[in-house]
Amino acid sequence: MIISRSVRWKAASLLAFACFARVPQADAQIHRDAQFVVSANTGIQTTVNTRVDRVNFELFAETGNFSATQNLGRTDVYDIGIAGRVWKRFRVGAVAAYTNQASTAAIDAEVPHPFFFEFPRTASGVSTELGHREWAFHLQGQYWLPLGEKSILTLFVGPSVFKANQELVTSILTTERGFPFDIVALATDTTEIVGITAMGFNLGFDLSYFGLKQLGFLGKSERLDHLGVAVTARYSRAAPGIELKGQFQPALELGGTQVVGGIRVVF
Amino acid sequence: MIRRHYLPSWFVLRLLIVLIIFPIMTVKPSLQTMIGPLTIVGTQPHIVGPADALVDRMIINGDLRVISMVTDPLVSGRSHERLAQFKDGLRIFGSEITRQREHGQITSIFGTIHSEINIDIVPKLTTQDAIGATSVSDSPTIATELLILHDQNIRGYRLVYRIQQFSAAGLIVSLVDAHTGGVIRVQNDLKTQAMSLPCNDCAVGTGRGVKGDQKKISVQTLGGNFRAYDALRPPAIITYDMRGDWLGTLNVLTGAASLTEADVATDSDNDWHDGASVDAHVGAGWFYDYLAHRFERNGLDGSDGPIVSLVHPVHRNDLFKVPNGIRNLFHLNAFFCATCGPNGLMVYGEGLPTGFVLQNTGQSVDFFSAGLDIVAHELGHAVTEFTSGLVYEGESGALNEAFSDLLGVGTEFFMAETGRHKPEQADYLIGEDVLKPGGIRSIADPQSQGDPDHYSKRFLGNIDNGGVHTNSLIASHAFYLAVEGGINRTSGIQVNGVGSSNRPQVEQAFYRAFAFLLPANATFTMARAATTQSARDLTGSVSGLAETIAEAWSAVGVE
Repeated sequence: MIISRSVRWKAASLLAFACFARVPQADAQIHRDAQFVVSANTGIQTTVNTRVDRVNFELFAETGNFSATQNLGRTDVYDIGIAGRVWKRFRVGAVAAYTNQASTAAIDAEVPHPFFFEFPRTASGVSTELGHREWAFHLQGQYWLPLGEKSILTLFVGPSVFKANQELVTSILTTERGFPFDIVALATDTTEIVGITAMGFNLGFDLSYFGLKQLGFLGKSERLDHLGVAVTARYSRAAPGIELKGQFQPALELGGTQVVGGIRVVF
Repeated sequence: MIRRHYLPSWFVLRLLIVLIIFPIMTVKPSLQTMIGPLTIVGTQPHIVGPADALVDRMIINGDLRVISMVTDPLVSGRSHERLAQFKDGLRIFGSEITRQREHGQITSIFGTIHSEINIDIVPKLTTQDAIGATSVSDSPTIATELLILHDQNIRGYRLVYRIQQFSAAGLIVSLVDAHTGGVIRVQNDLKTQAMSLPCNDCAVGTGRGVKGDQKKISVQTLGGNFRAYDALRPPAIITYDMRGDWLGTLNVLTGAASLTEADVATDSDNDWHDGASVDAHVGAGWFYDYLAHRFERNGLDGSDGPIVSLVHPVHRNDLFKVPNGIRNLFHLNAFFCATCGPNGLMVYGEGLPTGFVLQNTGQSVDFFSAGLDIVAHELGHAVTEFTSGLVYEGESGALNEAFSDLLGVGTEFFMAETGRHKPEQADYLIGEDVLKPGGIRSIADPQSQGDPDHYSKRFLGNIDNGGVHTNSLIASHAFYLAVEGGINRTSGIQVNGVGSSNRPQVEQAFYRAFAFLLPANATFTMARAATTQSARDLTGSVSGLAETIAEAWSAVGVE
């Protein structure tokens, strides 16, 4: 599912308005007394990672190699979470975040010559739509601070468990152009989805606003006292090592800086 | 009909040309006539024009016949025509004219034309009589031809049978007088040193050469084995392992037996350890690569014909068990037999057993295929055979040998300098990897091996077909000076070479000259004119290449 950019802007505008608009004081402060907070967010992961996988292969009695360079750029993030009060302003929470993207990898190969040692030919190409899917389960210790009557700033930190699927180029096929065999073309490549689970961490803050009823445009229902909007900035990371064809590769960078916004329900 | 007083109309024209041209030549005559043949060295318009008219006239009369026409791969718009002279249907041995065209216009002419041939062209001897007159009459006869020979000794012409026979002594070529049965000349005509892959059964293996250097070897899979058949390069490159069967090898060379599938060198795991087979097979491929890259030439014959090599023609340790002739042929020799097999055969000698050295030089002798320069040199003879056909005697024979040495040296440098075989030690020595120490010739310093570095010191005797090996150094040393520069030890003339980085240009200039511009009976003087003309064709007059080559020839005494 893809949330359009315009919808995200609307959500952000609403949040900014909610945070800074001068509104009448609330009658109740349910959000401060709540035992549980449920959250749902969407946003973007801003971190851009470039990963280079290098694979050696045997051809014509010699070792060749290729590298696949993939840029993992900004992507959409979705998360849901729940936190429960444990003591005073301390809560314990759990968030499940999901990202999914696909990008093109540039392949550069050094292909052994059939006639001569140490006389490699170069070949270049691309492998398209290499997928990268991440589930992150963040456990968080949270501490919140009031910001005025309607807003709360929550700080959090904790361990994360990442479960990721990374599609990697595992081998290439080349096409020989015939004598003198000085030119070789990349014909196709084969990929493999590597599944990996890794431990990491997360930290960040959450800024919530619970004055929706006072804004008026959503009505005046009492239930609106349980509903808030929020923006979260979160940094998480894990960097597990991976192998490809039995060869160690650069660590797979998981997580990154995420800015998301969404709703909060307290009860 | 026998015409005893043959006076063709072109002869009258020739006289006119000589009368007209000689007076206007300002430097030195390039169109020279003596009693007998007319020598044409035409690179200047005032020579080329009349000579071209003469050649055209002779073609119309049927006295010259086009025997080959090739498009120049190195200079766009150029082509080379080779013509042989005939008289009453009989070829005049070694008489050829070469014409270079640029978009139809003749730019150079070289060659020799014979006239005043007053002989009876009906032989008194039959072919069998002539064969019986040879010194190896019992040996298999490969070819016979009735032709006219210009005999320097009598300053006249003879009707002769040219008979090629293969014996233990080599490829013997006899010229037998077709009227008297006298053997005029006998010579040994062996040119010697004294992936997706595009085919399903192609394979690339590894092997170690005689020197222990690792090489890739292009082979073919067959029934779980690997055979020395290179199907990756355009020509079929096949290497046969004769497994020391010298009699069988001799039978193959004489045509009494054929090579069979069982003779092909094989290996069970594609990691080849027979250095002689590896070097012969790989070297043939590398020489093909050199020709293709440097000269855009498609193999030995220019048409990707097969390259067939024979290794282990005798057991090395059978040195004293075989006849002397076999020892000289198969132990201490490498040669290209142009008349053997469909496209010629390359045979690599076995060398001497460990501990044995040559009596006269004290050198040890390894497997002959161990020397890339030797492999290229011998296969270079095939290139000559398929192009200019430089007659293997006298000056043309020396040029034949020099051309092969240049190809040998060129191949070594090509492999080393382009990184195709980094262990290759390229140099200007010939055969240093086989005859150790020192090799057999040094084109950088011919005198160091007792060879002439100057025309004035040329060998004038009869042995070795008129000293074709030793006199070759005059031409190959000129090549060296043109590239590297230096002072000729005899003349003291200093040449500023074009530098090793420009060696390919000099190689191309010499290749074009030796393959296309020179006639079969070329002289050193012709070679000088042809190589400088070739350099001008390739680079124009501003590069200085032609001038450098001319200086180099002057340094070795060839004007």
